[in-house]
Amino acid sequence: MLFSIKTTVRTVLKSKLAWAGAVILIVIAVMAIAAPAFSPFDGYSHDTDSIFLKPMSKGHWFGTDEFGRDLFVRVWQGARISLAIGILAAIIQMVIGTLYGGMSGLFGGTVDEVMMRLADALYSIPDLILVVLITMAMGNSCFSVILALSVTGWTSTARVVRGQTLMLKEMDFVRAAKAFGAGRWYIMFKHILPNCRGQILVSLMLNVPSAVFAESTLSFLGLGIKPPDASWGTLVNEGFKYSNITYHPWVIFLPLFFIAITMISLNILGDEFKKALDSKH
Amino acid sequence: MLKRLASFLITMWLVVTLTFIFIRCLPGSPFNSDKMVHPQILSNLNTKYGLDKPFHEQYLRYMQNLVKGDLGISMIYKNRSVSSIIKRAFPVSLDLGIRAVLLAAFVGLLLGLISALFTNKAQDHIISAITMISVSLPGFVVGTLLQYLLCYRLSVLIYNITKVRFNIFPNTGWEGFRSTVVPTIALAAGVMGIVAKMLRSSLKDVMNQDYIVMSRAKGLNKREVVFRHALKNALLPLLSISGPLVSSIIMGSFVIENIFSIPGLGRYFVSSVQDKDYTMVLGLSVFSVFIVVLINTLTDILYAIVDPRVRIEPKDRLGA
Repeated sequence: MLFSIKTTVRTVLKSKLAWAGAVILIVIAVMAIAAPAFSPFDGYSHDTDSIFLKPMSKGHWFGTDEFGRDLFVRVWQGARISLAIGILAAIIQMVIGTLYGGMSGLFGGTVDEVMMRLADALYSIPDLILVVLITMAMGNSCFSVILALSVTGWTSTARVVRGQTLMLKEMDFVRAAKAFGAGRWYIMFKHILPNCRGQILVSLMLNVPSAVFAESTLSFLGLGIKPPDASWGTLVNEGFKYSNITYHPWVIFLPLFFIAITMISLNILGDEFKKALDSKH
Repeated sequence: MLKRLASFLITMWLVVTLTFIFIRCLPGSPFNSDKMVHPQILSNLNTKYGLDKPFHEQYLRYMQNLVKGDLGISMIYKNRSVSSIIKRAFPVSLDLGIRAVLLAAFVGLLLGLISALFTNKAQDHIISAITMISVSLPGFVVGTLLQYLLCYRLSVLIYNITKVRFNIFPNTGWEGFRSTVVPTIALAAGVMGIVAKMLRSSLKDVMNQDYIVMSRAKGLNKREVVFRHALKNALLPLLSISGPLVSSIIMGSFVIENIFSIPGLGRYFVSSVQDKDYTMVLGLSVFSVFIVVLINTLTDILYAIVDPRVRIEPKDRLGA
């Protein structure tokens, strides 16, 4: 029952699939960080002489888009935005969900009932609609997208942590701490939350792909990150707007391809983490 | 039952209020445009749409109208009410949604069943790979890919072979059966994967239960056991997530409708967000959430009817 992150990671990495997913993600992350800096192009400046160049021509590895911008650089810049938003949003969701679920479970009774009803209500609202409304109200910056995703995505973590808290708080070591006069907050941070690590880690691993998913969908609909900044979703959206999929398929399919392999890798990893946790029980 | 009704009403109230506050906090106004507009005209417009009234009065009036089923009129298109748009667009979305739900349920259950029957054999691995991919990919990725392959490439292929220009699957629009095929598949893909995955794991759980082991031990063959005894119980967990699944179909249709230019709610939603058509966004959000929450509530009730254990169990449904 007690959980060590090290052994879980070890269990996860026994699976070849998880290895593949992790390697792909690391490569993408490294490219996202490093690639734009090593390219002679900057991804923003227009070059009317070289619009819609095919991949691998004139030093443009991924070709160029409707303004002659280098797609290699734009795709990796997009990776930065997509991944950063996904990871940050998932971390904030984790913090909110953990505190909310922990408090709800610890207080119990009416407080718990009300808090969980609220979380339930929020959960039943499709997050796309909420996120669109929030980004509409706050403008289409990275910040507002992260905020919107954080506000909507924490409920599943809260549920899991609450369930775990309800179980833990009846256990002897927590009762002992209580008998020694430990305060509620002390118990929560010293005894309960550390023992939810496994659940929290797994829900973090599951929240990252859903945040990336939501952000790319939003940007694809033209309601997320606004040009000239571009996440992968924005790149696909712009590709549809300005180019023809039959004549310039690479403009659309390159970002699409990276979204696809990233999502698959993230989901595989999340799945393996969940399996590793489940097998412990 | 009463509790569910209460939580349904609370959720709806929460949504309407939050949405209303959000929309009213938005920067800019729908009447802002590049053209210079006389201040008097602006203030007349504001009066017409009630935007000059204090916040709480607008809120009260909106709630009153909402209870009567009046969602207001569009701020961009004159004389076009939100309800009339819903009346026109919802049947299209509903049509697409029902097709997708049926397809996803049918194919998903079939795949889940096959992979549970052949656990750890080739069939199982292939199906697991397919479901993993279809669960992972966002709807717009699947939609774009299918549109490219089945609408563009296929007709190019047909042209190259027969020299006849013929689109089997038109790439946009919503007229006739042929135009519905690709959007339906694209919309169903994700949910299909989830259904298959769920059925596989719940069938596996059920197959390890004593009564199944017993019937196997007494000599019933596996197929018989699965169809007679296991399947019924394995379907229950699926029912419990069918609410969220339907809501993901509805949200997915927003994306698919935009890719395939289908005149459903999703198209209007996205375009009215871009137009800053406040009442339209508000109305369509409220309506979509209403549908989603309604379906969630109905499946909850249905679940309690089908599975008596849910009724007897302590109230702790959330803790799972």
